[in-house]
Amino acid sequence: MKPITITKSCQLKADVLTVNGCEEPFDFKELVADASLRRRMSRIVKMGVACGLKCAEDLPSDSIDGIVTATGLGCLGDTEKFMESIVVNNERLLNPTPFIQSTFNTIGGQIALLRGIHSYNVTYVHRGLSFESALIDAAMQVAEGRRNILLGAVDEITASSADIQRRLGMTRDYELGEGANFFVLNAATPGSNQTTVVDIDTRSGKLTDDELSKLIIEMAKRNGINASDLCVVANCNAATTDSVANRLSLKNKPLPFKTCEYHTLSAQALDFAINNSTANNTLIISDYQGINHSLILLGRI
Amino acid sequence: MEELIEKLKGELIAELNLEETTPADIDAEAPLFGDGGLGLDSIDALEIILILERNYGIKIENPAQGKEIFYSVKTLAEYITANQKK
Repeated sequence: MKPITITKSCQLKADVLTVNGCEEPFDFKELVADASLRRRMSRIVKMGVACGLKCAEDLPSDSIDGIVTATGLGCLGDTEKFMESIVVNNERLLNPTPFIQSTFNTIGGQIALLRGIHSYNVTYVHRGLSFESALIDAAMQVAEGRRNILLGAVDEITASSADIQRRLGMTRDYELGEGANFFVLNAATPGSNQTTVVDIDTRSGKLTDDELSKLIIEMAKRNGINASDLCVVANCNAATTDSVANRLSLKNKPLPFKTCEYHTLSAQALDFAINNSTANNTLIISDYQGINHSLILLGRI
Repeated sequence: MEELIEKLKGELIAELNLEETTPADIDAEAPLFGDGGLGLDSIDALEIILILERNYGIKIENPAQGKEIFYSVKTLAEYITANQKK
């Protein structure tokens, strides 16, 4: 694939907004001045909209040719409110607001409405590969000649989803996490310290460390890179990281990233790689619950 | 009536997520919709219909009456007093 440049990255995690690695003051009232819009937004919508608006603030609306968002479980808080109201009210007299706001594409839609962006707007909900699907689409949009694409990923923890995931044993290795990440992608010639997305590969199902290592070697080979030269950002467990590092004979120690688990954590890993890796070629190895795997190869001049 | 007006104000704040509004901020005689009042919209009107049905057992049979009933907190309270079933 043709390398795509990431010109800006924003992250909202634990109420701290960072833009290109630097902390920025964050006042949601300033970002969304309309109180009647604000009051209907649940926590995840506020997180996503704030992060997306901040990321796109320097771009004129008519220069944004697409908004592509990703989420594993969507607007869970509103979905839970709506489902609860179905039970409590015996399937009658349901409140419209949680229903309207519970859809997966609420965040992409709200950003478009607030900024008056009338272009392509799609949300990917592909479990642990939601962000990767969105990234592939965004890269294809840029490759097809669209100018700036606003790419984002958002997921939230709610009390009941946390309870269910704990009971299902999904928190055995990592605690649950949440966050909002947005990026501006375009075909601009990358400047110094700007990151490009060079290649993406995804796999579903169990993958042995040997199979994973072979995929990495194939990816490195088709991009003319020696696998041992890669700087690895490990969004996977420590055992896999060590095993892959040995098999690839990595010259540099992998950068450990994974401290929690949620469907679109790989977006946070991308932000981490942009702001922490200075290598020419960085590879993000991601793994969601051992069943969704991805490789994102980044370049830097 | 005063007690019902205060109760209604609390219900409106809770159900419509009027996070930045307190009961004291709501003028019982000011219009609920449009400029000069709470600035509510059509989705809020649906939420108020649900408050009336769930909490007071009142179903508005004639939609043409809606504008008059929903004008302010006071007109809502008057309508509830006259028609309450719960």
